[in-house]
Order: sequence, then structure tokens, then C-alpha cells
Amino acid sequence: MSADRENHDMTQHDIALLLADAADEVEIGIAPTQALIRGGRRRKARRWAVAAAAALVVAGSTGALAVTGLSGGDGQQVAAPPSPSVVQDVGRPYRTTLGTGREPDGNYWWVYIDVWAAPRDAAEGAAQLAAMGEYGEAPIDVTEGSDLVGKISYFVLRSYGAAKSQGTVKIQGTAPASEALSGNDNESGAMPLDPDSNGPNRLVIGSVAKTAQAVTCRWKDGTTTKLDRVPARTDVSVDRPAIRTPEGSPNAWFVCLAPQGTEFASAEVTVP
Amino acid sequence: MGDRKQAGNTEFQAFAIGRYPRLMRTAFLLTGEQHAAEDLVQSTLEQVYVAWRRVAAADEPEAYVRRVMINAHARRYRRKLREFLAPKGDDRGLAYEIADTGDRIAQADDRHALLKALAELPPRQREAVVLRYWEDLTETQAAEAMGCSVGAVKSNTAKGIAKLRAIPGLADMVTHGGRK
Repeated sequence: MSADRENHDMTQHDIALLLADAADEVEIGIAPTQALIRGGRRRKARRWAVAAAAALVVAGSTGALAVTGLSGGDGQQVAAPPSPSVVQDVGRPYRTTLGTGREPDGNYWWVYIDVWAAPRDAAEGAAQLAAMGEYGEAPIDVTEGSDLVGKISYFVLRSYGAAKSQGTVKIQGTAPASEALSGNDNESGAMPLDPDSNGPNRLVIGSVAKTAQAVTCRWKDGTTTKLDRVPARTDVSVDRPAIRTPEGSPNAWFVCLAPQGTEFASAEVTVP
Repeated sequence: MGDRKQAGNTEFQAFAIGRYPRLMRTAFLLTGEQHAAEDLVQSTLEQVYVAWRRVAAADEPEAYVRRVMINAHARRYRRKLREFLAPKGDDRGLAYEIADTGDRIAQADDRHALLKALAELPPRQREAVVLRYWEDLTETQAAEAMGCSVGAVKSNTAKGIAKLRAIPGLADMVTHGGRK
């Protein structure tokens, strides 16, 4: 070994020692475990936070399915099965209608999810971030395209009213595809159906494992609504409450609506 | 379900308590500042909590945690939180107040010089140096943590070390085998 090489190794060894020495300067303290858990729960909850109102321009081919979902009349709408032949395209989302309906006053409601495939590199991530902007969908805590690499993003939007041109992002999340729910996991939240009202919280949107067989929504008046799972890419009337598996999503989703005069109490998952 | 959640919380707490000292030291080297290190560890472990089931089931939970920390560090740096750039003179993590012997004063000065030099490295070089020489990771492990190629790790490490060696005070220290 040459003298230079010897000196070089010594230098790097010493840097390791100096780093260890410097690292000892930090005050360790006690791990704030309760604060960490609270913070972790907040992070989970943020996926369910009502995002800032963002107008969604229903346009282009991805909007076609959405319009179909509302235009067919009462009880006859059918969600077209997503085409399995579509190559993963990070520049536009898979859109799946989770539920629709029409209130006695004539207003339509419509809940759908946009699932964006995971970009494979920073360039794809940047392109996807720009595309999301065109859809009025802005992921929380993401500032650069590279933040999206390897992660699926989803946006659940709700539209309400006589017109059907706009949806508002109600739930958003960005996470690795491997972070799927399992067993009887259940993440659900409720909100007023009418965005201009303060309640009651009749509209329930939830996410469960793909293996979930059924979800029972319990209402505060003691009644329940049971939703069964429908296989992916299956034609099922979108105004029939059901557990649906959106194309590209690691989880299944459901939407159910409380009867007039009551509101959401809880949701229970039935597993195989 | 409640029992399972409680069990998960208990497991997570045990994990966090066990890893906290090491994570704090790594974060301190990455950020150069006590409070920034605390924030980085907090952010990292919160994200670990969110994905706890997956982390707990992983063969190498530490690798996942390192990756989260490096990502969080990189993200913060991109947001240009400038406190990462240079240690502050009044920061309690820098131990200026240690003064009971001349040797310890000099030791504190050396630490400060190293932390300052580290803080002046570009973030990717800093991450590479810390992962390779403090975490003692292989180039492959460091590449996984940084989400880059082994070649990029080699390059960032070499550049980082070269810059550290160019610091006059550090050059003297390493030339003489480091302070004991």
C-alpha cells in the first residue's frame, strides 16, 4: 500500500471518528413517543382532511366517464369498466365513480376517485405534477415531481347540485402502492351532502382492504346500510351502494348516504 | 381491532425509544442543529408510524427509516429552510460553553469546525458522507437510502470528503490522526 493510500485511508477513518465525536454533541433526551403517535395520527388524518376547494374541469377523455355517470337518469347509470388495455400513463388519472344519486329536491350528487399511477422517475413525476395541476388536483406535501416517484396518488372528489360540471377534492393521499389496507382496516369519514350546509353528515366515503367482503354503515337513528363488494371491472350501477375497486388503487372504496334526517355513526367491515 | 391498534402503538413506541438516540445523532449530522435534528427525527418517526405495519413487517426496518429520514431531509432542504446551512452560534448543540479544560475547548472547536464544514456541503454530499462514515453503510445501502445509484453515492462521497479534507482545521486534524 502506498503512503498516499495509507494517508487517504487514515483520513477517512479519522473523519468517521470525528463524525462520531460530533454526533455525541447532540442532546438526545427522551423519545417523545406520545407526540410522535399524535403526529402520525394527524398525518393519517390529513389524507382525510377536506382539501381546499379546487374546481375540477371535467374535460378530455378522462371526464367522459364522469359525465356518463350522471346523465343516464335515476337508477340506471352504469360505470363503464376501465379498459385493462390502457398502458399505465402517469399523465392522466384512472377515474372511477364511487357513487351517485339524486336527492328529492332534484339535486344530483356524485363521488368519484382519480387514481394516478406511480411515476418511475423524477421526469415522470414532474410531468404528473403538472398534469395534476391541470385537473385541479394538488397533492399535499408535494413540492416537486421527485416527491411522487414510486407513489400512487388519489383524489376523491364530490360534486353536488343541478349542474354536474365541477367536483371538489374531499380526500387526498399520496403513498407507495405497497401501503395497502388489510383485514378489517377501515378509513372513513362523513360530511354533509350539500357543500353549502353544515350538516348533517350524511355522505360517508371510506377506504377498506380489497379483500373486504362487506361494509355496514350505521346511522345515528339506529338504521344501517350494508354494502357488498363488487369485483373490479364489473358493471355495477353506480347509484347502488357498493364496495368498489378503482383501477390503479391499492385499496377498495365505498360511498354510502345516510337517509334524510339522520347522519353517520360508524362503519364496520366484514372480512372473509 | 382496538387491541390490534393498541399492540401496534406499543410496538411502535418500543421501536421509537430504541432507535431515537441513533436517529438523533444522524439527524444532527445531517442538519447541524439541535432543533432541526429534533424536527427531522419527529417528522421521520411520524411517517414511520403511518406505515408502521409495513415497517414492522420489513426485514430491515432501519433501512426504511433511513430512507424516510433522507427523503425528509432532502425535501426540507429543497424548501430552502436555511437553518440547515450553517450551525448557529447560540445553538446548544454546538457546545461552545464547554470550557473546563483547554483540551475540551479545542475538542469542541474541532467538532464545531466539522459540523460547520458538513453544513457547507451540498445536501447530497452531506447525506452520502454521513451515511457512509457515520452510519457505516455500504455504497449499496447508502444508494438505497438516498434513492440513487451506487455511482452517485461514490461521486457524492468523494466530493464531500475532498471538501472536508480541504478545510484547513480539519486537514490538520486528520493529518495527525484525529483528536483522541
